[in-house]
Amino acid sequence: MPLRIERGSRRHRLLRLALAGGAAVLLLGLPHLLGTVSQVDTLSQIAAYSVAILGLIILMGYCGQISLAHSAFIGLGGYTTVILVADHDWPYLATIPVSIVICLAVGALIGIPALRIRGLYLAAVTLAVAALFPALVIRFEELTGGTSGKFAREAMQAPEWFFVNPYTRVGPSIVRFYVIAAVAVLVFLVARSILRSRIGRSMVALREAPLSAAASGVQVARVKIFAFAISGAFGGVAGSLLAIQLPQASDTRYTLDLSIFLLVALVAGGSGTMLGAIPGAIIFVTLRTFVSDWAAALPGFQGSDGGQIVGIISCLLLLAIVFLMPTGVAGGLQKAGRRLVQFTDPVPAGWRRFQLSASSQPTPSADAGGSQTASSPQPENSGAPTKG
Amino acid sequence: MSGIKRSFTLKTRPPDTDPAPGTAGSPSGETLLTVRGLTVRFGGVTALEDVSLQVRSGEICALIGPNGAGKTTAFNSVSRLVQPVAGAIAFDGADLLRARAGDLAALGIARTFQNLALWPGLTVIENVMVGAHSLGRTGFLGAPFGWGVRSEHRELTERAYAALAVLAIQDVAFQPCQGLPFGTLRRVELARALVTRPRLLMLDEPAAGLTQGDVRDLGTLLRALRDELGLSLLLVEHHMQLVMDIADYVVVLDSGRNLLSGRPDEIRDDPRLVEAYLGSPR
Ligand SMILES: Nc1ncnc2c1ncn2[C@@H]1O[C@H](COP(=O)(O)OP(=O)(O)OP(=O)(O)O)[C@@H](O)[C@H]1O
Ligand SMILES: [Mg+2]
Repeated sequence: MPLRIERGSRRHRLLRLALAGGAAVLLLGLPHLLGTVSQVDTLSQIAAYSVAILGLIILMGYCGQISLAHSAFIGLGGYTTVILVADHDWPYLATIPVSIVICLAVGALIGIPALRIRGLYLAAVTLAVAALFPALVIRFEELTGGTSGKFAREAMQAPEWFFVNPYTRVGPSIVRFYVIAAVAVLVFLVARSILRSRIGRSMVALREAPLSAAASGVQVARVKIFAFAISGAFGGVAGSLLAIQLPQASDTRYTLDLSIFLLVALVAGGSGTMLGAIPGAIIFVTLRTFVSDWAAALPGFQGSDGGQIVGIISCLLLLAIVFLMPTGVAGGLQKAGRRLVQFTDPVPAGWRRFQLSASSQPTPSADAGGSQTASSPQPENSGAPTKG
Repeated sequence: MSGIKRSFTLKTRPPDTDPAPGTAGSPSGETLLTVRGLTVRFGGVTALEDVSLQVRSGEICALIGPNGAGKTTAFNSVSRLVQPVAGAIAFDGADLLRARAGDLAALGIARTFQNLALWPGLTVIENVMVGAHSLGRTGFLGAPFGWGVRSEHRELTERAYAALAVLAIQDVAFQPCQGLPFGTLRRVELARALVTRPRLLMLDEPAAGLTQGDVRDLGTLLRALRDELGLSLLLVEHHMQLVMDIADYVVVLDSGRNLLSGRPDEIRDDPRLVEAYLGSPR
């Protein structure tokens, strides 16, 4: 028998507070538990890629659009940060708003074809963008450093007052992790706000039945463009965060297979909920670093980069997830969680303000006083109600 | 009733104007919707040819005709989901052909779909809240920062709950649509259309697939909407008994053309109606 908690109740608020506190403690404490710089850096990468995957969740999971162009946005963000820091001496954090603005604009531009085309055709257009990006990097060599890449001499420094001592061995990477995690948390809050607003709901509506969404007053074209722009901006932020973690940009860092691996991570992590971005990012980074290292060390693969093995493992993982956990890790966890705790929704307190009376409909006594609870999964209520 | 008057306001309501000129044949009541000379083609298929109809304020106008007559196409033209090649559509003096699909809710027009067009990924109440989309104000700039999202969410939830209450399905408000019986889903769709407090409600075969008891309830409800809330209805329906019971005026289409029109008692026994539905006796 699962525990039932009503949304908005004291217990619900306490639970949320506890969860938020737990997450904060985890984020603050985790890097100190890890011993090495590379482990902390891995954590930073997970935080950064979770922002990128979150952008994909909004665009593909909620709005139902396909995009393979995400690597280009991560690249745009990365180059923006590295160029501004290396050539113009900007502080790292100040480059993030610039990445956002650039990627919002480019994202909106890429959204325009999506007003006309769908599915495979849209995939092809966005794939072309992803394929074009490294070529553009080489074309604009003076700006980007071309094939030799672009580096910022100095990694991000913590201000004097910062509470982590940067003069220890893992200090600098812990500082960078905190910064990256803080920005990531902000981005998650932004995403939550979008998805809870009428715009978030209209994304789902236009994904599932665009005609009736339009008939309900949803400006379908604008919402689609917005989803592309926001998703691009999240990709840009992720690129900037990755550049904070490792201040270099090169054409080989932002290729099409980055987009494809992100898609695998999206499906595996779960695209139905915002929080799917976290398992998604963990899976992504695990595949790209650990499995890749392991594969490269396999006998017979010495010297190769292990790319094929990672590809094969990703494919197998994708197949396994599609069959075993079609809603991804996050979806599976949610389902398991519902066995423990179920959230119920209270009758909205002030609904009588908007009461439409059609007097032939008896007002059911069930909600007299407005204190009753209409609970989410309640099969005994699912029959067509009978009326007198 | 007092609660209705207080809250029965739309955000945008164009000023009342005279009925469009040249709309003859309206014995009483102000004309709310006027469709004139509507022609719609899909490639080579002419779905509608020179179709005219009008809905008077506070009346139920039924649009009937055999399968493929073009009823849904007429609906889609009014909803701006289909672009006619000729004709005029006026709603309360406004030229609808210059409006976009997304504008209609704010003008005071809502509709349902012949094949339920709900969003199964949303809960029942969320479906209705999207129906109330045009009442919200959160913009693309505000949404990321959460400006006004909370209070708007609360208000839309309340409005949606109230609309569900009209249809007596508030019990299932927070359930997903998936798995609910068909009759309930039809009501969800009606609630989604009602939540904006439209002046014109367009229903495409609302009785299709309903049990006899549900059809009776539907008739009662539609009458109540007309009589108590002053709604005007345009109703596409194959259920003849329902049409004859509640319609004030009936327009019959056949093969994309106006066949005849009149009050239910005027057309009920017209041989042309029987012929259109059953085919010519020869
Ligand atoms: N999108 C479309 N493309 C091509 N032809 C269409 C389209 N929509 C409708 N038609 C055609 O237009 C004609 C009218 O169709 P419509 O759906 O309006 O009929 P209807 O009166 O609603 O029929 P029913 O009672 O079966 O719902 C039909 O011949 C149909 O095949
Ligand atoms: Mg039809």
